[in-house]
Formats: sequence, structure tokens, C-alpha cells
Amino acid sequence: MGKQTIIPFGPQHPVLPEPIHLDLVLEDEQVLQAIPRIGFVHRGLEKLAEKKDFQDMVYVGERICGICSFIHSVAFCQAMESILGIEVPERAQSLRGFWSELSRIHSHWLWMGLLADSFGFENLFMQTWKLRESLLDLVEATAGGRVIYGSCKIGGVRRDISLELITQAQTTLKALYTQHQILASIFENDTSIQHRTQGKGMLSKDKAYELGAVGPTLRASGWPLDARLLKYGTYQNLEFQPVVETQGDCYARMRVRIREVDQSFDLINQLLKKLPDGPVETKITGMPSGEHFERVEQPRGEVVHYLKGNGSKFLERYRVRTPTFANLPALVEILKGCTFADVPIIVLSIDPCISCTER
Amino acid sequence: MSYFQMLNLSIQQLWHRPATRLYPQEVRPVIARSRGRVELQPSTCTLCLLCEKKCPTHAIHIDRTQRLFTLDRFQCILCGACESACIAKHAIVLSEHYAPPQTHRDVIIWPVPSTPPSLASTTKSQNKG
Repeated sequence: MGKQTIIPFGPQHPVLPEPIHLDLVLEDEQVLQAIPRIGFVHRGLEKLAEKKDFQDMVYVGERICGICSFIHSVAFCQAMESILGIEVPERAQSLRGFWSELSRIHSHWLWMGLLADSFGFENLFMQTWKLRESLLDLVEATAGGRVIYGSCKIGGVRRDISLELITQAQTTLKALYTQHQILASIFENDTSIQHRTQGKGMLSKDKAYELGAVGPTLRASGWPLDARLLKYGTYQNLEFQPVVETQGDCYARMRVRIREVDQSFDLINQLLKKLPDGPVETKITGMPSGEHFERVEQPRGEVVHYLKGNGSKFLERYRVRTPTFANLPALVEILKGCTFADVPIIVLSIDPCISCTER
Repeated sequence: MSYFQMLNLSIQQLWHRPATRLYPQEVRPVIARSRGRVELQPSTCTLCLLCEKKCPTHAIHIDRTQRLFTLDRFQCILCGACESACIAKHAIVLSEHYAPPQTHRDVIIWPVPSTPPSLASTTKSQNKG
């Protein structure tokens, strides 16, 4: 047995967009154990629900995360609508679906860029983020903000989109889809990327289920589980099958995300073709009384929003279980036995979002 | 084979303009629906206090006796709640131009001129209702 060393990894590290600290127990170059520590960006957003009007909490909910912001607000609003017994107009549901899928595409492109950056492929990183920039312009043109969409509210959405904007969105998305195909082909076929990702960070099918992994991490290990299959909101009218890979390594997780981008483009096309007419919001009546447990699929996996109201305008309890939190046990498991040089790529392969996790 | 795909993409870029803008010379075109900054049209404002009540971050303060509308841009999250709450005709709007950077943390004060009596009476009755 060789000499054991503990190497601190993070909270500040070039491949980590957000702070997570890992104590890596190494024997020579091999990681024996990884001990995670989080808590660097805790903001106490759940406690804020006790002091803030439930209608204003949508803004707080949206600010839990900077990447999947819109889907957090959708989850909060859907939970609140179930408690209040509000029926959301179909057009509002479709618009929510439209922005959710846009947010999924830009999140996956961000991740693909970061992955390329993590093994020093700067050129591919720039190409991916160039695409993402065009998509963010489209988001700004339709929703009004690049990161914080600010479009979801309890009972519907704040903004409607005109026919002109829909046509513009379809044209832009068509051009972006063609460019995505070129990048996807490079990501999947490039030998240097295959060399760095294939067989790294293996997570077996049974282990993934046992450790409660969610999202692309789980689907890359062969489980066809996706919260969108619950047919919430507009997904009841859309046809799709979850993207599944069976290898369970970093390469499989990358392929799942790349193919999910294709899937999102398809879902947006389906949505925009049959966008129903009508109002985009309904009036809120009454105060929240009761509890609800809402499951929604984010780019990183399934998010759970639990809300409990006591009949006043302040919520009694607000709890968010984010996908990265669910994926942390799987991360600790797949880090065991890898070499030190692969740690950044493996950590990145679960798409960690620490701001979400700590709220 | 795969090396050539990336090489091809890189070589194509040599004949294209850069994807980035040369900022001070080339300014980003304004996108029509952007939530850039909150602007007040003091002539149409009726000081009804609805925007102050609706603001989730308490960025708006209205002094009805001195007829002053105060906005703290550092508090404002550009949610648009004030715009949708405004009962006067577009007194408070979200402009698509972004707020310029500020070197000091100060607030913006708009003096509101006195309202025509007809408009004031409508506001009062609506407030009561």
C-alpha cells in the first residue's frame, strides 16, 4: 500500500463554475475516496418564503439558479396553482413549455462548452458558446431577459408572443439546429474527446438507481426515467421518448445531453405548430391552504418543489430538492478509483449546479 | 477523420467576421422586448401608490405630499410588476435600453407635476374600490 495524500479540489477551480469542495484521498495517482463539502453559496431562500408574499416568491424561486431559472419558476407556479386550484390556460402552458425547452437547450450548450474547456479544447468551447449566444438573444427577444426570464407567474405567463416572433423563433431555431448538428458530430466523433471521456466515471445501472441519481446521469446508465413523462403542463400534448444510453460513462452522459438538445428542438417545433389561441393568464383567488409536491424535469434532472400553505399569504414551508443534490452521492461513488487527471471531467459530467443545491 | 471536422470548422471561421463585437465602435442592437430599465413619465403619473405596493423589492418610494417618485435602480429586479400594476396610461414603463452603470449608489427622483383634476378623481375612486 502506497502513501496516501489528501488533495483539496475546489471551491475555486478553473473547471468549476460554482463552488464545491472535494477532499480527494489519493494513493499515487488514484483516487480512493472523495469527501464533498458544500455550503459556500447558501442564501436561505427557503426561509424567505415565511416572510414574503406567495406571489412575490415566484421571483425568489426563479433566482434559485442562474441557468435553469425558468423551470424553477414553472415548478413553483405549478405547485402553487395546484394548491389554489387554478386552471392555467392552454396557451400559457404551451409558452411555459417553449421557454422551458429553450432553457434546456442553452443549459446543455453551456455544459458542452464547459466540457470542451475542461480538457483544454478551447476552440470547441468558443464554437459552442457562440451558438448559445444566438439562442440567448432569442430568449431575450421572446421573454425579455437573457438569464432571468421573468415571464412565469401564478396562473399563467406575463407575456404573450406574437405571430411575428414565433416565425422569427422558428427561423432562428432552424439555423441553430443545423449548426448544432455539426458540433454534435464533432463532440461524438472526435478521437481526443473520446479518449478523455470513454470508460471514465462508470456508473452501473443498479448503482445509479440505488444512489438515487436523476436526469442525464441516470438516463446515461440505462434508465428511461424523465419527469416530463408525468405529462405535466403542455407535455401531455407532445410526443417524445426519453433519451437513454447504456454505457454509464462520461461519454454516455455527454451523448444523452447532445441528443436531448435534438429532442428539445423537436419539442419546440411540435409546440409552435399547434400553439393554441386564447388568454395567457387567469386571476388568482384565495390564499394557499394545503400542501403540494411538484416534480418537474430540469436540464440537470428532476427537481422537487414542496409547498405548504396555512391560509395566509405567507407560506409555512417551502422546500426544494434540486437535481445536483440528488446526483452528489453518485458523484462520490464514480470518483472512486479514477485517476486524478480525470477528476475535473467526472465532476463536470454530472453538470453540478451548486447554487441550486444550496439555495 | 474526426480531426478534419474540427479543422474544417476552424478554417471556415478564417473567412468569417469575428463572432464578437468591437464594443465601443459597434454597439449591440437593442432587442425590442428587453426589460432594460424602469422609466417614469411624470406627466401621466397619478401617484396612486399601486406600483409601490406591488414592487417585490421595495425599490419604489412615493412621497405624495411633496409629489416625488423615487426609484432605486440597485434594488430593482426588472420584474415588470409595476408596469402591469400601473393604472395611468403608461406612466411607468420598462424601457428596452439598459441602465448605464453607476459609480455611486444613489436613487433617481422624478418630481411629478400636479395632476389634472379629472384624472385625480378617477384615481381616488379606483383606489377606494
